[in-house]
Amino acid sequence: MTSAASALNAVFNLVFGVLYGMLKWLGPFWSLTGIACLTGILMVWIFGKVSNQTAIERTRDRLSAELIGLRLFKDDLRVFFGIQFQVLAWTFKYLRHSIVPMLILMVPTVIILIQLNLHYGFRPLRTGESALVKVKLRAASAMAAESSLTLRAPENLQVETPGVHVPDLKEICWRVRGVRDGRFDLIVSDGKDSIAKQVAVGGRLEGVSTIRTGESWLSCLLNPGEAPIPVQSVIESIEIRYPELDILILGKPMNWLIPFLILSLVLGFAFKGVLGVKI
Amino acid sequence: MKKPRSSHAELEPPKGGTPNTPQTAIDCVWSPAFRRPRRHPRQNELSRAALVLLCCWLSSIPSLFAAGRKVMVLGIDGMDPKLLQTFVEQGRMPNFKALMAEGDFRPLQTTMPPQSPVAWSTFMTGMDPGGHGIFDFIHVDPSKMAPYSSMAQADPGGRPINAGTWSFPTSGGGVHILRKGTTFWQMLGERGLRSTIFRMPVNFPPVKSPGRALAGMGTPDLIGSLGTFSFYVDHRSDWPPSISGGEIYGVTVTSNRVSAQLNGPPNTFRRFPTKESLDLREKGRAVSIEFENPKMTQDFVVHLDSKAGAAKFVVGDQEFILKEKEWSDWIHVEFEAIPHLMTVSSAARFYLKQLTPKFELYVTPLQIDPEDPVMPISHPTDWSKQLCSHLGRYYTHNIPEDTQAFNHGVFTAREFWEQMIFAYEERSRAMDYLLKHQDEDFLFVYFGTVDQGCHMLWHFMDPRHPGHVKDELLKDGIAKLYEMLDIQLGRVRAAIGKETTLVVMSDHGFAPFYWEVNLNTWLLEQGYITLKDPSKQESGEFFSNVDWSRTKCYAAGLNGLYINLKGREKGGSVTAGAEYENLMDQLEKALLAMKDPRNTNSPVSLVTRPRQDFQGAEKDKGPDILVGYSRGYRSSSDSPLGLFPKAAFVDNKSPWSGDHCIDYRVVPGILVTNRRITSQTPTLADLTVSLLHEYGVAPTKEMIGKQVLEPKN
Ligand SMILES: [Zn+2]
Repeated sequence: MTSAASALNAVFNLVFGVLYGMLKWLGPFWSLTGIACLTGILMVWIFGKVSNQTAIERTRDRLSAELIGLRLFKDDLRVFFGIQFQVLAWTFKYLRHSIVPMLILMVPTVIILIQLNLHYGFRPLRTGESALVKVKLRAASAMAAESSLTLRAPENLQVETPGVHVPDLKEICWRVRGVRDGRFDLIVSDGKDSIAKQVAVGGRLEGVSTIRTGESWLSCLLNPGEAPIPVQSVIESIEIRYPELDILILGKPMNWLIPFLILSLVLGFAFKGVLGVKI
Repeated sequence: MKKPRSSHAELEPPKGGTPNTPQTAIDCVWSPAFRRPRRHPRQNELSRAALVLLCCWLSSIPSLFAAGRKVMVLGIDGMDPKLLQTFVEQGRMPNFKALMAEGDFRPLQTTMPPQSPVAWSTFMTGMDPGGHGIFDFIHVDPSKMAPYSSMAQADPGGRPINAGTWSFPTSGGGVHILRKGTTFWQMLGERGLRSTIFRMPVNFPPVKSPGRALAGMGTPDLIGSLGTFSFYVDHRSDWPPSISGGEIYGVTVTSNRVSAQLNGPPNTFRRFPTKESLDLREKGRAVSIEFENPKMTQDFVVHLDSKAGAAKFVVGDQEFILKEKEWSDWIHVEFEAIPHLMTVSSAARFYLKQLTPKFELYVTPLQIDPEDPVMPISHPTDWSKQLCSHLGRYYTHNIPEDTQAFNHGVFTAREFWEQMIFAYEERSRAMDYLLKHQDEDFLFVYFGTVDQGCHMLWHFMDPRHPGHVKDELLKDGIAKLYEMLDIQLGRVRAAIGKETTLVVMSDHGFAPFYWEVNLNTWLLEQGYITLKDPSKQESGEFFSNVDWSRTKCYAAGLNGLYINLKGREKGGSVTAGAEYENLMDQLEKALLAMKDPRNTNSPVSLVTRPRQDFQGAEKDKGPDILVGYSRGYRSSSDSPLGLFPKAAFVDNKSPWSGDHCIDYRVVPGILVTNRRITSQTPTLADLTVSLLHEYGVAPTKEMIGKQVLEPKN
């Protein structure tokens, strides 16, 4: 299961890597706008393909006819309530026709959101900035035995504290500080096995993989930035608590999700006429 | 997270900022030429004549004529002329020496009383306390016999609409400044001149004027106090039940874990019945239920690893590690007022003082978050946020240096030093930013480090001090602080243009604080005050044990003495007119004749009567007498709070070992400038008039000073 997840990740990473690579020169906001536009178009197009367009069109026509009826017969209560029942019935039919395509659309949406979080969720450390490295172990029992767990930092990082053991949470944490720009690996080793984790300091304002995990196929799918940690390792995950990446919109720093959802909806609807899709 | 300094490096002034190296980019911004309009290349005779006429007309309007000139004031709270001269002579302050040689240096006469809020208010408005109405840190409401901060007052919100435990105010509350009068930069603003006013005391909320301002001393912390730190300990009984300036919380360490909470301001959206009214109801009394707003809290967890000598903190969604004796960066703290809808933003720094064998954690006063301020700490409102985007978060409350933590033993002297230097470095970075980015007509930058350092480090420097402590590094602490300010002056001199008028000034100087005077105890001994129950002399808050019908006067604030006047005081006993006047004369004589029986010193050298000696509409609103202590003496900290310790005169052994709230003639401030000072005895109020004069602005008739600065030729 985990290997299937990592294979899927490899495909999506490639597609999004190419897409992001083409747009990143625009800066965070405009590249996100570009991706939102493509996402909107893709979603409308998929909706057109997976939905019964004729049924949707017919239902919508009936619905608008009934709505006109509501306005015409608002003085005749018996007719009015009859039409209202019709409106409800057709609304229900409309929802029935769109619910399956919507469910299908969920799949690419989740994939896109996961990939975008990788590129827009968090930013690299700045030189001089500190962060927490959190190593989660598979079992609390491993905690005492693994007190010899060591952290080897790459040259762009300085490890500032000894490992702080938190048995309650099956965690060992260190504080690291960015010393020099670059992307390197830090190595967590238990004496036998060594697990690497990417670390980014400085450079362009672009996303970073916050966590390398091997916990489950689901968490692997949710965190596609790095290959899963082998199951036989005592380490379940290595996380770097990077600062959040703020996208400036009208001078206000914002998380990427809300502007992305709004932009993709607006742009998708703008293109539905061109694509000839009835929603 | 800051790396711990090595103990020796602690006392080194921060490096960087080579003095005397001109920075062309900054020069360009500051030079008056920058603002001069470019001349048109082809001007015919007619247009030239018109231009001459226009210039004549313009020169008759002083504000426009002077618009090109720039003035910068570096305000150093508590810099003392004698100490300055000593350190200059020792060669420790080359930049001050150079400025003195370039221009002039004089002691600057301060106000009576020489307290910072009073003196800075005079500098701002050009009026004495009779005009601006600030007589002390603490004022008394005589109708209620209750003390209050003299600087700002909160206004309650509109009548709330209540629904069960929910409460919705119909309009927001506010806060207003208590100082009267117009500041000189408002007067400049009326003529279209822009100012940047960085941390001027008694300017919260900042007055609105063209330009920008960040509030300074007098700004509350998030809970509305002037700075309340939190101290979490697992041995609560080792500490006193309550201390001033901080709250001590008992916590327990359970399987290497401490769970505690940060206590924020009251949540005005929630209300719960008070325990008292519920108890009364339970006893069958028909009382109406009273409600109170619960405090907003933020839980946090500390996971201790004694083997590693460090702990992991989880505060909201933030996680960080601190080793023992380490400080965190500013941590963003959010208090939820309405879940998922409304939060109040704050920031604090954590200091893990001790991990084992005892757990001790200090947290700074919760700041009004400059990134998302709940109260107006800057003008325009978003300027504090703009500063944040360049400088990161910073201390915003009253006085950042935590003297109370040191005073109560929560900080050691070295810990206080480290915290003070952190605050100083924040200000230093801010000043660099302001020097690089300002394009205003007037710039004021405030440093409070020297004042706070002299208060807390005097006893290390002075072997005659009753609380003298030997510390090879800290005995030089005050000198180091002066050196650090010298470096700042170097930066300023390098950044400003040649035409810029530079004024370095302080609000007052400093003196040792050897002996405390419990003035209320002395008044009691002299028969001016009668207690209801003399056996309980040392208990009772704010005069609660005083028999007002047989009390003639009382002391409140650090220098104030009030007559218990009929019609003004709640329990007034002295009639206005002859009785009042006779009592005033009698008190003046008695105060000046006061003797410290232990050494036959005279603790009081000056008695000022505001109603007689001050000018302005507010002069009748302050204390009846201001007591000027002689060098070495000061009011105790208990007496201003209406308490009666047993002895009237006590040796001061607390770390708060230097002070200035005494006879103003003993503690003048400094005036160093690149101009010529025309008076031998310039005053703070003279400086206000002189700054206005630099822009060709005439003083108002309420201003009491005269022009004392002239170009140096
Ligand atoms: Zn002071």
